[in-house]
Amino acid sequence: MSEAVTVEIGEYKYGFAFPDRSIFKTRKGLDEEIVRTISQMKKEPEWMLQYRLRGLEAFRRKPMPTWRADLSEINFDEIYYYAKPTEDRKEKWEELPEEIRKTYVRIGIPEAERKFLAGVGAQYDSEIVYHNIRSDLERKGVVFCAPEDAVRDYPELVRKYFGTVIPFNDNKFAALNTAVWSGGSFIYVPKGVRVEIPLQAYFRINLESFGQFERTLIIADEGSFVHYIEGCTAPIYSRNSLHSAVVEILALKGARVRYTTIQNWSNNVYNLVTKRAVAYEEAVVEWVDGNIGSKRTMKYPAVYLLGPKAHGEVLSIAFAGKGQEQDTGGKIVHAASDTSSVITSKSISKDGGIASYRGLIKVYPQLTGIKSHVVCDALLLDPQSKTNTYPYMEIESEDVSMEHEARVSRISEEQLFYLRSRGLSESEASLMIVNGFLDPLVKQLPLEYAVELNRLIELEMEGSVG
Amino acid sequence: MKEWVAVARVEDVQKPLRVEYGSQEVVLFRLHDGIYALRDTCSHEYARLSEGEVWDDRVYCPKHGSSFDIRTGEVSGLPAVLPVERIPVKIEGGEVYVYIENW
Amino acid sequence: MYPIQAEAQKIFEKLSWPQQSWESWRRTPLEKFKPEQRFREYSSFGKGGASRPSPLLEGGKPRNGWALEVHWVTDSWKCYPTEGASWVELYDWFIHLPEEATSVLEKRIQGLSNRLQAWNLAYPTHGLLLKVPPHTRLLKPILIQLEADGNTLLSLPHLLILMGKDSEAQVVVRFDGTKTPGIFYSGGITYQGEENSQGTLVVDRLLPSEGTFFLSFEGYLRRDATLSSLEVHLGGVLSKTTWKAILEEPGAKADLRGSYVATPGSHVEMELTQLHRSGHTQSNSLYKGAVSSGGKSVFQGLIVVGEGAAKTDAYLANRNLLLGSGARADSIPRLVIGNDDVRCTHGSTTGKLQESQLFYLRSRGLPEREARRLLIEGFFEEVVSKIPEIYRDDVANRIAEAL
Repeated sequence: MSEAVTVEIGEYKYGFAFPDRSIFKTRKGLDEEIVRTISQMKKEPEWMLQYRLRGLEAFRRKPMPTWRADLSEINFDEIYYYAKPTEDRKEKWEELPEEIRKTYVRIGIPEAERKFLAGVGAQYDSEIVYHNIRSDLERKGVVFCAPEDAVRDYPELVRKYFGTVIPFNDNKFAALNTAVWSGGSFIYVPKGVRVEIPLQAYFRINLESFGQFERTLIIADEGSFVHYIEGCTAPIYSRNSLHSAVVEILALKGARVRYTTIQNWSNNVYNLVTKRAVAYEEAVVEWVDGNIGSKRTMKYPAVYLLGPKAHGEVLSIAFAGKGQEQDTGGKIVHAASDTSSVITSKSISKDGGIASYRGLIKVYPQLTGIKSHVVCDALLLDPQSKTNTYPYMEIESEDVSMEHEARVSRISEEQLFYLRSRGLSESEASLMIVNGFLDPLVKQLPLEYAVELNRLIELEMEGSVG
Repeated sequence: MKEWVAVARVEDVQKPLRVEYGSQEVVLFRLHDGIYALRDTCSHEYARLSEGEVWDDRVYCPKHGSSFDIRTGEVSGLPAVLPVERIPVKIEGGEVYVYIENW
Repeated sequence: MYPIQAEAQKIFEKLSWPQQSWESWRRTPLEKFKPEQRFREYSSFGKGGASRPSPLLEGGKPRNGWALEVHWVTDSWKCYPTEGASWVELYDWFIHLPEEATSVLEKRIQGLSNRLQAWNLAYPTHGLLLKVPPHTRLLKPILIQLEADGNTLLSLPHLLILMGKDSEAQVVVRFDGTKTPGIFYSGGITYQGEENSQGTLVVDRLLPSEGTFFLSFEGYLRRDATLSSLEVHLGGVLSKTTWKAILEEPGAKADLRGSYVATPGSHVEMELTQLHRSGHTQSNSLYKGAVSSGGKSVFQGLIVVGEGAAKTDAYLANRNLLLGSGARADSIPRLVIGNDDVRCTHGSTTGKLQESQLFYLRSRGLPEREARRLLIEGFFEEVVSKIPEIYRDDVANRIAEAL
């Protein structure tokens, strides 16, 4: 047996930036005045301002989480929490400022818009700049707008559900988001309506030391279906950026929601996200979570199964390269009988990257017919890379079938040898094996995401981009 | 064995008030229409609701924000999923009585 | 004082009692068992000097099937060796502790993480060294039984087992506290397996209905040493063990098993660590338990593969059987992997008795109770089979009783 196989790498640079054209930017740091300013700029009703202030108070009170991923470099006082890039929202692509259009051309929105999308809410530095909802969605009564608009136009819905899945003091970063949230998506799907084409949004961080605090609320009424896709890129900057989003999903009786994310923040971003869904009777929620970028990500999409026959799934892919730490996983809480859950996590660590799985399966007492299955696979591509698995299972009912397994492995020499004997170079062979490893999850992604993900993996594995 | 136990004077109940009797832990709330009581233990991770915030007749647990309807103990917000026990209250002679186990 | 006891006491002073806020103690109902309070109530035990010479071996024969029986009853000792066991050495720490033992104890003292663990090294009520010399192979097992006398509520024993190069022995350690309701144990076992030694260790405890049991085990395995262990936990109000196997040199192998039954009202907790310091080592663990209605079990496993530990094979499995509503099983098997050239997996399953299997047995005429008992016996078979035959029935019967 020869010594360990180290896979060749290149630097994946997605770096580009445009001069800051924001029209209004708050000063650095966070205090009550800043929160009031944000609320004022958005012309919010008093109740939302009060809610933000409660979040601010909770943010100050709560300690930093110490249980994993070193967050000591985040300096809350050095961050700009809000910037407004244009005067108002544009309905047509052509009316956007040229720079912003150029950014999105590079990311690839126009083609996507033409071919795939039903509607796009694109975000540029915390504001919805470009927004276009297709007429048939409007006809069906599907609401897809900025959360700021929802606060104004659908206050009953917002007041009923906002903050009920992730409360203002759930954790320090959810509290921060509650105080300074800006942008994101609000989606309401009426009873029985199926949205066949995925709804998408893109996010970017442009301003140096700028935080992204989008707030997304998705309400799928009884029997409805919607698939939401979130994918983001960010340029590389010298100071650290903070991304602290909150996503709340409510899948009412018989509804199905799928939420897909491909995250590729540049390697200076702290990505600390709280994502949680509730699934009522016979509802289904699926999180598909791809984490490729960022310096540190802490994200554990959760599903609370609150009604009988509900089903929750988390599919997670993580890629931890040099200097990266992906701390991801999933949480499923069974609070009703005849519920089921599946968590599948696949991670790859390379060049000293650390990929950790952190998960929870909790079954409350007095339940019957519970099924849960968790599989965690970790692939280490070289001796410097690391992986950790921290699964928690708390089972308080008897009629449960719960299985969990985890495996750690590396690219085997036999596999490599076989592929090389077929004429593939070492890096081609490694790439093939890695793709094979990820395939079951990649298959779950919509086509263009699968393509983008494959490309990203290829770039991570092969030589530099150029 | 449950019985009525005097745990506080009416005027003492302004903000959420924690009272202990034996090993029972109860929190008293003053709402616009009277005084209500719940077990002082969040059903999520057992923090003290008496240390939480009250908004719109709901109490929000200080640990993770689980919220409960003060009058009924029902869950109004995650991450809790189980209700908190409602404790019956009666006022007699300026004293607040709660109906709880006597140990 | 035994040699280096002063050092242990210094470290005891620096450490703190376990806190509910510590991750590994989060699920333990510490407020019920207040070790700190017990410590204050019973100040340090001096050791009455016995006039026994050392090494300790006496005349008298052990029961059939045992190579050696050692019985501690509070302050007095009785040992019964067969001829074959006459090479085994036993030492009471307070009379004489050989040089080679102090280096292992020093290693142990450095690894202490809280006062509960350090207690039985700083102020032990019993300190026993069992030494199996190099090239000594015992054909029959050794029994070490510590029996409470009904008077003392506090038991702080520490057992040190040194397996010499090429040696082989099976040791059953049994803590019998049934005579003392309310007994509180905080015990320690330290094991060092020298090159190519093969050891089997079974730890069992019998607790009265109001007993508390804390035990900390640490085993060090050198080149090609093998350790097979089994911890048996049947009932008891609060039981928590930390079991740590450290594979120090290539070729070391550990097979770690556990069988537990959390009876109604009891909390049974096990923390298991498989620590691979060296490459070319193997560890395999299997912990199986049943939880009755009103019982709670917590299993925390951890496999750590250090950066230099290439070619490690490590496996961990936890299987929980829930036997009634109100039973609770927590399972937290963790992996911390710092090297890529490893084979490492873990698995955990929790469920109830299979309806289909029950149905099958009942259709053969077995009453429900019998059928359940048979299935549960089958469930534990894998781990119970590791027990030396002479002791196996004892455990199997008590498992059946506990259910």
